[in-house]
Order: sequence, then structure tokens, then C-alpha cells
Amino acid sequence: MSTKTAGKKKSLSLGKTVEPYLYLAPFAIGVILFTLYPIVNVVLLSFKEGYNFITKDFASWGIGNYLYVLKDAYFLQAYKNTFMYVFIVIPISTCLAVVIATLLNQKIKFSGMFQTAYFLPMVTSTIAIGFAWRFMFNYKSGVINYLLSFFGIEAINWLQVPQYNFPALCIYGIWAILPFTIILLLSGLQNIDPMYYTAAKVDGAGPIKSFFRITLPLLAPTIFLVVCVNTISTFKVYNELFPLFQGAGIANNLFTVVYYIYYQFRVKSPARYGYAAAAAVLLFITIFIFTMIQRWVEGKTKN
Amino acid sequence: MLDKIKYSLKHLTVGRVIIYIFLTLGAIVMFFPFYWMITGAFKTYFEVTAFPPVWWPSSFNLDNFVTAFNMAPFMTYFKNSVIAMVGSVGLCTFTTILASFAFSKLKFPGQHIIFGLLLGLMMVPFEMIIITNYRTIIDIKIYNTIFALIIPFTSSIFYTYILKGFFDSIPDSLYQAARVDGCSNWKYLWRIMVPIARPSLVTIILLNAIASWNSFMWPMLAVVDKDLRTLPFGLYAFVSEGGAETQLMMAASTIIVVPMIILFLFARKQIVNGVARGGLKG
Amino acid sequence: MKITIDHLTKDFGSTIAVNDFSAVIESGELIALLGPSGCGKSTMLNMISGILPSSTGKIFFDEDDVTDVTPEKRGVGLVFQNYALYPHMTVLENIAFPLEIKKVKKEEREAKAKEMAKLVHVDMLLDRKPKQLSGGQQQRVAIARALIKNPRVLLLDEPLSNLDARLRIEMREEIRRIQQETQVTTIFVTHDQEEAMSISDHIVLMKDGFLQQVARPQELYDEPANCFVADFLGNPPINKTYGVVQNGAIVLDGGCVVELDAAKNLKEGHKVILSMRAESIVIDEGIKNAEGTVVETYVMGKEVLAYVSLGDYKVRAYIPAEKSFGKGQKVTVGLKKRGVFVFDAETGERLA
Repeated sequence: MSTKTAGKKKSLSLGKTVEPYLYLAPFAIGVILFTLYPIVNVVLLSFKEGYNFITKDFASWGIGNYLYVLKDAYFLQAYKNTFMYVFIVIPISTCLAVVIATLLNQKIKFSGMFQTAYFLPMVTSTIAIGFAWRFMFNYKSGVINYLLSFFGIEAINWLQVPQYNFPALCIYGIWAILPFTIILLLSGLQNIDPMYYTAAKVDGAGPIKSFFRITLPLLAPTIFLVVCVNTISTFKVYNELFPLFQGAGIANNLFTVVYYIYYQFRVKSPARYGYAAAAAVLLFITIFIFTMIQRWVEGKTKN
Repeated sequence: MLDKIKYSLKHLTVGRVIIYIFLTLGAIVMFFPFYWMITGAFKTYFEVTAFPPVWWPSSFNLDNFVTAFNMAPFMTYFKNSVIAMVGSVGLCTFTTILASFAFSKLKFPGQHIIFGLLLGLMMVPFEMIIITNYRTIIDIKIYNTIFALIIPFTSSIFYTYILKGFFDSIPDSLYQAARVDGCSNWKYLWRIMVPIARPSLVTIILLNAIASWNSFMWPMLAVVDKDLRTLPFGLYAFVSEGGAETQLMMAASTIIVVPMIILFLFARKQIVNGVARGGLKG
Repeated sequence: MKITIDHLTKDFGSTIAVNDFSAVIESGELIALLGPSGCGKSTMLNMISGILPSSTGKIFFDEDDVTDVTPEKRGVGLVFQNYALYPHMTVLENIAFPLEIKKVKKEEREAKAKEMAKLVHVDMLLDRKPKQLSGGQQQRVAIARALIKNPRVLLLDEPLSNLDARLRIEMREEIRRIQQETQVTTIFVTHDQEEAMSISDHIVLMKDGFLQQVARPQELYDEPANCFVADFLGNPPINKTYGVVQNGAIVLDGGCVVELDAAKNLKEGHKVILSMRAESIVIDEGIKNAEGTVVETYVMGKEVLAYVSLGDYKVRAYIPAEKSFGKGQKVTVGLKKRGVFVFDAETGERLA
């Protein structure tokens, strides 16, 4: 009898320890095979000099790939472009989004219709709608140049002249990033207790004053979060380049970091996997630094 | 006093009007590319190249769609997109449900360490590991098959994180009540947890489906055969290889975008809430 | 079914929630597990249900050792404080769920569920979802769900604490009625002494993980085993005074001498606690145990609540409404036999 109970207890505890891992297994297989293993592998690959993709042989371990990438004009250009893009797209889109989100947060009619119009770009293929923008940016028959002509601005060759490629990308970029930004800010606004506005109204504050003295300060943490998330996602800009320019600008003048990775192992012949891996690791380090800064600031403001 | 009230009332309406004008102008700008794309799909070659631009097509017929379908196998692309989407979203939802349940309601050694590690991994962009994943699908011999568009996306740390958060909010007493009645973990998960978590599940399925439908970079790397392309890649190839005329380009783009517009019209609230929740957490 | 708890202990690392607990619960009784919050009563209940494993000790259902038996094999019905109804199922599905797990056929389990619903008076609500029910109705459904599989014991965790005052009285009578109809051994956890007193056959009183006393409600009130039991029960709370035994009487702090027969057998110099229920104190009625001064009186309708100073203490006493006392009036204080206790000041043990 006593041995029977002991045996029963053992199998019970065994079941308890194994079962959770069975639930985790399908998930874990995917994570290990397609996230964890490739991370380790890409770091290793970035230190393999002269890697041969077919034979998997390589000449030696070393930091040669990093030395090459960090001196490569295209790679440096990618960082320069990304930072310029961040400095233009993020402030403009954030300011617009704050205003639009504040207005959408009022008690307005047709809010469903407005939301649909403002949020639709978020669910659509960057490629497909990018082609619509390409159509709109057309030099000779584009609707944008037509509208600009009313302001006495001569037709701009957005897509074929290198110096105009970047502004075109920024315009498209702002349009594309707005929905996400507005949604986050809107949910930040909805978390502000309406009590504050009632109190401000009692104290005689008008709508402008309560926007600057209540809405903005209370929304500041959300604005900061949105800026950080958008900055990080900007480092991954890549898809947008294809419909507009079929690559990194008309004259390879619009490299981004991710496009550089793609360029090294897909466009260039023969492909340079080591360079691509080194660029990928540097991309991760950049994103990691931004994430840490974000956490640090958030931690500071909380205390 | 009465004058003051009248004044503020008048002021209010003026303010309202300005709000509506501003919001409407903004909405027009945001929606314009869609308008331009869809009307463009019905314009003739002369209409899309005309200057000043033609605002409304002279007739609505499907000529451009027919021509585009004849030039490239969009039906096949569409089918591939649907298979890749259903396969990856279905499998991913399954693994997400199981893993979220284990992290939320079961207890096992290493639980917190593993979950912490996963949160760290969430920071890693897919773009960083795209080279080595490319290597992997060649090594496991699924390169240039439909499985290459499904297998790498069967697990998602992000969605697991979101769903675990929702599972955590379901009181433990429900779990204990069912356990006392002899309900197994498996039965509890599918009979109780999943039905209760349905709104959250719908949200993550929608977000995942949208991401899958629109994905471009991975399908471009993972398959080479023309009849394995998905819609965004197929569209891009259609334009870049064939030099398609603008009205055909717009027709093909419309095919990709319209299903998502319909989805958005039906499930706007879930999608918007999901994005807000995911964005604020991530 | 009889439940025997034998030297049961549960420790959560550094804190001991239940400490060397032994008790016997007779078959067919309604037992209240009473104690202040954090005393280990819910832990105790969870160990009986099997949700929590015990650290040491044993639990027997009749003659079966169930200590290592999993919850579903113990045959217990459990009702949670928040009811834990499944929000997506109807009342009927909720009640039938335990049988659904046992793979009982649909018609059979629904018939049984309807029978249960009738027992707890929710048979008109079968198609509703839990959200559409009031708190009391949810409670009834939870009880029906716990009873449907004919449990050997029904366990209720703070079943009434989420209800408003009026419903609470109604529901506790319902629990009593249902228990008497089904004759199932029932244990319910509560921190409300009135609730425990009013419906249970026996009360198990706990404090800090230790069993204090098991007794019938009136017995617990009349014969507390220690000072904590006396303090915990009764409204208004018992008057608690400290003093020393001198010359066969108790001298309270502040010098008031209380003559007491019970004190005659106590050791000279013994530090004691003298506890008196408000209704056991009489004023100017010919019995004299001590002298005091009326400090304050409050008219309560059928009687008057008087505060009388005895040494450093102000004690509450109920006096008939027709009597009136002025503030500062000297009075003789008499103590009835019933409701007056002497405890050891250090251990709290009952001395008399």
C-alpha cells in the first residue's frame, strides 16, 4: 500500500514537471530555430572572413568584415541618411499626430469615418500603396506637381533626379508613419483623466491654454515612447525604397542600413555574407543603444 | 451674464467648425493615395498620362484588371498569399496559445528566466537575422517552397507576450475551480481560456494576418519560382520586370490593398486597439 | 463524511500559514472556519480541497488518507469567493460543466443540472450568462456547480463577502437550507463572527495558523478557551481589563478592587486579564463586585449603553432603559456568573 502511494506520487510530480514544457515545445522550436540560433549564427558569421556560402568554408576569424563595413561609403551613407530621415520625419509626423489625435479625441461626429481615413495606411501593403505614390510623384503627369503649380512651383522631378529622392521618401514616410503615431497618442490621450479638464475649465482655462498646460505635459511620456519606437523602426526602413526607386534611390544615394544588408548579400555579385552579417550586428547594436536610452529615460522620469 | 454665455456658445461653434475643417482636410490628404490608386485602376493610358491630371475615370470597366491578369499570374500570387497567410497565422496562433498558457497558468522551473530571455529577444529585429534564416531554410531544404513562407513564422514572441498578458487577467480561481472538477489543463485551455480570450485572440490573428499579407522582404528572398510568389512580391516583379503601364500597376495594387481595406472596415476597433496595446507595451 | 485533520502544517518558505493543526469534523455538519484575515483559514480550506499540498501532516476523509490525492479525485465541491463562474457559458452549462468533464451524456447531465438549479432556486435563469445575474444568483449557481457531482464535502471560501448586507443574511440562510437538504458535510470560511455563529453546527476558530478552539457557537461564546476567543466573539467587543490577584480579589490597574469568587483560588500576585461581556455587568442592582463611576451614557432605545470607569479602564455595560444615571455618579458594579472570564495575562489561557 505504502509503495503504491509512493509510486503514484512520483508519477504525479513527473507529470507536473514535464507538462508545461510540452506546452512550450512547439513555440520553443520556432523561437530556437528562427530567432535564437540565427542570432548566434549571424554574430559568428560577422567574424568569419572570406565566408563561402556554398561550402561554408571561411579563411579566418577576425574583424575584417567590420573594418570593411565601417569604411564603406555606402554604409556610412546609410547612417547619415537614417539620421537625416529621423530628424525630418519624426518631428514633423509627431507634431501633426499630436494635433490630429487631440482633435480626434474631441467629441466629434463621423469619428468612425475620420479614423478610417487616418488609420487605413497602416494596414496596406507598403509596396502597393507605394506605387500609388510613385504615380502621384510622376514628373510629367503627377498630381503633386499639378497641385504645386498653383503655388507657382515648377514641376519637380521627384523620382529621377537624385537630390529630390530624399524629400519624396520623407513625404511618403510621414504619410506612412502617421496612423501608428496617431493611434498611440490617441490611446495616451484617452488615459488622461477628464477630471483635469473640468478642473481647468473651472479655473477659467480656455482650450488653447488647457492644451499646453494639461494635455501636452500629461501626454509627454506617450510622446516620448512614440518618438523612440518610431526612431527604432526608422532604422529598419527598407520596403519603401522599392516602389519609389526600385532600390536605394535613383543613383544609389538613398542607402539605409537594412538596404545595405540586402545589397551585400543579394545585389552585389558575388554576395558578401560576412559584410552583410557585420552590418546586421551593427544595426542591432544601434537599436540596442536606442532601446537602452529609452528605458533609462523612462526609468528616470518614473522615479 | 447672458451675453457671456451667448458669446461662449458662438465661440464654441466656431471652434467646432475649425476642428471639422482641419480634420476633413487631413482626412482627404491621408485618403488621397487610395482614391488615386483605385480610380487609377479604371483609367485609360491617356487618362493616367494626361496633364492636368484626370480626376475621375471616363468609364468603370475591368479592362486594366483583365490585362494585368493576362500579363502576370496574379491569381496564383493571390492563392500563394492566402496559403502563406492561413498557414503561418494558423500555426503561430496555435503555438502562441499553448506557450501563453504555460507562462501564465502553469508553474515550472526556469519560468521567469525563460520569459525574461524572450523579452530580451523581442528587441532583435527580423532584419538582423534574415541572412542566417536564409541559410537555415536552404539547410533544411525548404528554400523555394511554400513552406519557406510559413515555417519561419510559426512562433511569435511578441504575440505570446500580448496573449500572456491577457491570460494573466483571467482569475486563477477559474482555473482552480476547473481543476477541482477534474478538468485537465488541455481541456481547461480550450474549453475555458480560449473562449474567454476570444477578443484578444481575434486581435492578434488580425495583426498577424495583416503583417503576413503585406510582407515583402522575406518572400523576395525565400522563393525564386514565379509561381511561388506572393502578391506584394509578384506586384513588384510585375512592375520592375515588365515595366507595366501606370494604369495596370494601379489595377494590380488595388487587388492587394482592397482585401485589407475591407478587413479594416469590418474590424477597425480590434485592429486599432491591438496596435495601441502592442505599441504601448513593446 | 467525517474529516480528520492530523497535525497538518503548511509553510510558505519563511511564513507558516497553518501550524500543527488537528481537528475532527463530523459527518453531515456545517462547519465555519473562522478567524481574522491572514490567520490561515483559506490555506486550510485549500489543503482540504487539495489545491494546495500540505507540508507535513495528514488529512483523512472517513478512513481514506487523501493527503496526496489530487483535487479532482477527492470528490470535493468548491465555491470561490468571486464565484469563478465561466463567463462565456450559460448558467446551465456552468452547472453541468463538472459532469461534462466526467464525459456524462448531454441529456443526463442537463437533467441533473436542472435538478441542482431547482435546489438552489435558479431554475428560471438557465439560459443567462453570469454577467446577467446578481451577486446572490451567481453565488447560487456556484453552489449548484459545486454540488452537481455529489461531493463528499462542500467547501465555501468566504461565500458571502462579495454580497451586500441584506443579501448576505438571505444567502447564509440559503446555504443552511441547502446543506440540510443535501446533508453534505460543509466547511465554509469566514471572518465574520455573526455569520459563523448564526448558521454553523460547529465553529473552528483560528489565529496565526494555530487552532484556537472547536466548539458549538454558543459554547464558544460562553466558554472561550482563551483570551483571543473571548476577544474575537461578541458585539460590542468584550471589556478587557488587566490586573493582579491580591487577597483573593483582582486589583485592576488604577487600583479598583474587583471581588470575585473565581479569584479566590488564584495564586497571590498572579497577573491576569479580567474580561467581562457588556451584558454581564449590572449596575446598582444589589450585587456588588466593585465600585465605579459612570462616565458617559448613550440611549440606544430598548436599553442604555453606559461607560463605567473601573480603575484605569472604561467598561461598557447595558442597563435597562428605565434607569438613569448622571455623569460622574458613583455606582456599585455587579458581575454575573455568565460572561465573565479570567485569563492568564501572559499566555492568555483561561483560568476561570
